Amino acid sequence: MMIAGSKMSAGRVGMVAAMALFLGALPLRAADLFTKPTPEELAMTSLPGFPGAPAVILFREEITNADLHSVQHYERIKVLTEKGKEYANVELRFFSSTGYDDFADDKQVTDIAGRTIHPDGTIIPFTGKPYLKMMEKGRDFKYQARVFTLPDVEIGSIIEYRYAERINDNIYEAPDWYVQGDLYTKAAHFSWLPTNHELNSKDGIINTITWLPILPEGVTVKRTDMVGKQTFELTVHDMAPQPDEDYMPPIRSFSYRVLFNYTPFHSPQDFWKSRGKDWSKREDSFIGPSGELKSATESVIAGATTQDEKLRKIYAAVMALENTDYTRDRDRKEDKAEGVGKINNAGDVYKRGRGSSDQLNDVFIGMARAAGMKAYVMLIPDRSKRIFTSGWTQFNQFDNSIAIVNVDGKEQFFDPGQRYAEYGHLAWQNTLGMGIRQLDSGTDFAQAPIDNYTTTRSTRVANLTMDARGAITGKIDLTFTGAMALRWRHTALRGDDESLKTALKKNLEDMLPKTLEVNVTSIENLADYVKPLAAHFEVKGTLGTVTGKRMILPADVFAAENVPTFPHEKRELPVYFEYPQTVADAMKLNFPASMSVEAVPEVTKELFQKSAQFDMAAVTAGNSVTVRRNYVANLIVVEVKDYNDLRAFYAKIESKDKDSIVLKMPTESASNAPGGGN
Amino acid sequence: MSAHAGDKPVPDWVKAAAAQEVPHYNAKTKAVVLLDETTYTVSPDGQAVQHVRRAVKILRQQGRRDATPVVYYDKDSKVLSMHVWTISPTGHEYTVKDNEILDFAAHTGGGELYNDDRVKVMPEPPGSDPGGVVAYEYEVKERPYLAETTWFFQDDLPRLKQSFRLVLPPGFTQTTTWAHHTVDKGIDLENQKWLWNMDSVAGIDLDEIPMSPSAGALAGRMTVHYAGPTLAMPQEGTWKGIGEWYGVLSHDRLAATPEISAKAAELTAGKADFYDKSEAIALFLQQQIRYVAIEMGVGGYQPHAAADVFRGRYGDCKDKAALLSAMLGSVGIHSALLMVDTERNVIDPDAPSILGNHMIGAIEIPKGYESPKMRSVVTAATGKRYLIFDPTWDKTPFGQLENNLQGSYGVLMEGKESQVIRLPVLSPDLNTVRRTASFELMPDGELKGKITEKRFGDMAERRRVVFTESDAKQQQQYMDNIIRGDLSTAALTDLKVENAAVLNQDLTTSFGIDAVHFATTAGPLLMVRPRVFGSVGLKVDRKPRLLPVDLRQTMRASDEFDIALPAGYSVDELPDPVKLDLGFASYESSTTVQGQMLHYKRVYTVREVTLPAERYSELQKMASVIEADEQSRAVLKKSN
Repeated sequence: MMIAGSKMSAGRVGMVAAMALFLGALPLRAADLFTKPTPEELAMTSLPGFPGAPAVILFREEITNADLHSVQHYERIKVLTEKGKEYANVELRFFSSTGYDDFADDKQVTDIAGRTIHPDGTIIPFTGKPYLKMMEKGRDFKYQARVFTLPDVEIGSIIEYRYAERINDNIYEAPDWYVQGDLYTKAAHFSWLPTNHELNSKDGIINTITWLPILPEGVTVKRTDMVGKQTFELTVHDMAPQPDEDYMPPIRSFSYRVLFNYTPFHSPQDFWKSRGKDWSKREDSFIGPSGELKSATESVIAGATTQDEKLRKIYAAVMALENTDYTRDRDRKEDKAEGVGKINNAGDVYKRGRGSSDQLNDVFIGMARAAGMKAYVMLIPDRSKRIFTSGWTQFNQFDNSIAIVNVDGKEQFFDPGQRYAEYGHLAWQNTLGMGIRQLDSGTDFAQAPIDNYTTTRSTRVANLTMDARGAITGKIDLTFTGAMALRWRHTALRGDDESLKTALKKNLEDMLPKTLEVNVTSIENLADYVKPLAAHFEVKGTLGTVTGKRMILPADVFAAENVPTFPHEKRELPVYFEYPQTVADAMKLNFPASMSVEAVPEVTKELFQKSAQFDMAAVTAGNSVTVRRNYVANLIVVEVKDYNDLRAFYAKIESKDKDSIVLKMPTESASNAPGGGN
Repeated sequence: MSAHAGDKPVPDWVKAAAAQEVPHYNAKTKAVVLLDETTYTVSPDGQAVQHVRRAVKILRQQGRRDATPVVYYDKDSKVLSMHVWTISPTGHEYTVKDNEILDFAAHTGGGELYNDDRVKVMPEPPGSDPGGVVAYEYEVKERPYLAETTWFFQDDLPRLKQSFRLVLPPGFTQTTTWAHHTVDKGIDLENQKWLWNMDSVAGIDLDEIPMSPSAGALAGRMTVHYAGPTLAMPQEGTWKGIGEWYGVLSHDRLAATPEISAKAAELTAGKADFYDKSEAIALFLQQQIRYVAIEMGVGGYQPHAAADVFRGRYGDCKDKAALLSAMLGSVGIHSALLMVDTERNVIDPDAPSILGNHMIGAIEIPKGYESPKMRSVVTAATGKRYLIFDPTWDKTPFGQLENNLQGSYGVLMEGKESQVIRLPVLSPDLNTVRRTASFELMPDGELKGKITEKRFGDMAERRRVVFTESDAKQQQQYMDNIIRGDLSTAALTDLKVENAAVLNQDLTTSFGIDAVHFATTAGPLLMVRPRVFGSVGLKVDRKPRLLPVDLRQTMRASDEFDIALPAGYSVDELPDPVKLDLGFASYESSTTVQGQMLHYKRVYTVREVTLPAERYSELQKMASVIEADEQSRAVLKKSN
């Protein structure tokens, strides 16, 4: 899950540090500000291929001039529907901080001009004064927005506006060009004139510009170099908006875009090697292990003989610590009030008894090292949000850290930062993705492992009894392992037992027919991540429907309310599942002797390729019928070409889930049955 | 145990509040207000300053947010001071530095583009954990144009001790009104000082309460109005006073310019009838003036000039109501602004105040004029009749009123004739969904057919939005999601929509469906649900009910479906007919068979918008009957 393809520029910027003079943009005459609409643009009423599109971007321009410390923006939008009128409301956000020196990030948005053009060519200029809206203000920062509304917008109008972003004179920012948005773009032009001044960073002289282009085939960034002055340009045409579908891969961060960087590194490889080394050093410095952590480790692993035994004890000790990502981070004065000193290393975290996910990961690694094992940090993106690409030289692609420990000669992955993650397993968000890891010397890219369908298992068991009047009472037991167990345990950590009870109750109520009332009776193993999490419920109410001679009941109470997973015939993107899993249901229905089974669902087995399986079977024994339903999915990504087969597989399951158990019943009972409202 | 941090030590009032014994609350209670003390002081020049002390004990992790120190203000008010202290569960005391307090644009939930509501807030101060106490004290210079303040002494948290102290300068007078609480005269402390205490007030917990009224319709509050010689706009505590106050703010803003008059004349050209003229202008307001929320200082109350709204073709609710008034006025039709609240029954007829979050129009009907097209009609105490219309609610047909305002109260801003009026509850005939369908059932359970659905009134609102504002893909996906609740395996084809933007005609949606395995087989039996598509099921619980029920809207849903049965199968059993009429709602359903054609017919009617708690059992009964009917099956048997 790594996307490469970054290109490098050999072009260098100037060698002498200097402060650029702020020249400002030269004022344009009003007639020059905007483009005269063509008759076709004025007459346009829809966008071919995109029926009902609210609006279309006729033209977008973004010109960044580094030495002028400004970015000039221009937007021309054709409004096609009522919804499209909302694009006349413009909010331009910008951030400024005072900072500690001349490098304060002090942005402004200025020179706003705009107008509306009706389909008949009438021009209504924007004459108002944009409102300066303070979004957030802190001790040393302001987050503001310039807000305005273009006048007299109607369906068919062209709205257009220009504005300039001003950046602090001492700041040189490489631009990010976001080419693909929520509207179809007919044409867009981007250009950047980087500075020739010598720039410095803490890594040395910045002498290279890198860029990550995520662009359609055939579209490239054009670089020109004239008399030592570089220009980057991009022109795009007919750019469709990014699709938005259920079960879509985490590709939000891969909409078409070009991300530039000023960098002292000659290649992404250099960047990751050098910065990776720095990162690894910092980690090692924090992890230690310190003398205190070594001593604590000794006491934790007392009695353990093998590396696995030791590590399990260490893992349990770390799991017992408070993870403040689920509760609340404390500030320095709270630590001080509690007699806790400054946190300098993992030993301090352990001593304090709480820490962030990353800190706890470091504690685990430090203790593993103290116990004589090789242990490493790995940074990983949260794959519910993003995918790592080495071509983008930013560490902020990583969301979480995990641990790699060599146990008895074999490297294993651990997730101590996810409180109550099972030993030797990762939270699903941290699985499968590429990331950067420590080695004995330096760093390298690595891929996190993923569990198969046996790790995450939900077992749902209902034991229901129906009386002669059709009233149902019974017990339901839900048992979870893997990702499902972790999800519920984290629900409790972010709230408490009461909120977990409420969430579990609602979860079961959503599954069951509405005629059943649910109460949570107990929850087991909430903090014991070694054991499955179990939730026990009592249910009562009615089930199914009564006809004159029969009672018709859902074959599986847990699945009867299921709605189609893939209701839409068309698919543009691959289908992306969060994790492989198994769901095993068993429903036993005990009924009165006066009733008998007339029909039960036929035995069914369905397969999707070799990756998913569904089966259902019913067994009648005396005055009871038991239905077992199993769903096993070893799915992560399903290609678009296989979508129809996948959809058909789910349709078969969902159809089978509507099957019934038919009981014959005495006529006099039928008329009195509470379930039979008719 | 005590460890001071920050600038000033924790004051005694915080320690005293924290030392209180907290009663035992149920496990769901997130936090408890230990102290809420307000002093409202008006200076001789009429300027008011509010001083508040508040201490909250966090009981659960989720209660941290409820304890967050927060003060709202805008460009016409000013936070003079704010201090925050906490006592951790272990007894450590903290003082937050004033410069650690953040300042945000307030999120009012409406997505307002132009809004200067601001908030000073200290998120998660030290020690704010379950068992900890968060306390804060602030002083706000109030908006200068108000002579009214409301003490909200009830919300979702229980409150142990609270008080409201009023201090007026010599020569000033005050009155109080009470909503959702009995009148409390308070204590006269003499020398123009009054005090109200309100201890041990229960919280209002609406979590998991189906069909509940809004919290604002239940929470107790006291509104103080005051008058004095230096006040530009004194308040006497009557609806008339409120209307007159608003008249001063809005009068000039309702003036028509020549451009406005010309447009109104153009829209009404050739129309002589009152309704037709009003409708033409109303449609212009609904369709041509874009809603853009603008809440800036006094602009939270005062409309922009109609001329500006007309020129820019956008405005918020009061702007649209003002332009409506200006345009109607220019063609000789009088209308008034009507302040309402989008949450039913927040405005209490016995508690005059400026509380309300929405402005609509009340169009005066000429004496003796009648038209069956006028549905939302109110007769004021003056005997004048008004057609109530909301130019902001752009999917409700002219002549009607959106469901959330029905049965509620509004403040008619008519100068000296200002008054509170009750908005009508409209007939179910004006809010309908009618489904008809013909299907063919195959021996393997597959169902094919065509469904036509006609919607009118607010029942059409969501679909009108989808079919006028979404693209074709989103529309298809919306309908896919609609049918998947009932027809899990169905493919929806040939989607056609008529009159999506024509509010005074049925929105008609027609489409084909092909649902494999719709009917389930069990041996020789084939079981089919006659109620193929569309649910009117009610979400009720089985708990005792203490709060009134909000039924949301009056409406009528009717279904008529024909299902051609497969050859070789005969009907073995049919669901029994159902008929239940409880006054506030009725439900009637029948399934019959003629030859090989199964016919399902039902009508569900809701006639009221609210129901007292004691009738909840009737609602439960209605829900149970509907649920049973919607799930009922006809059993077909294969002929031997």
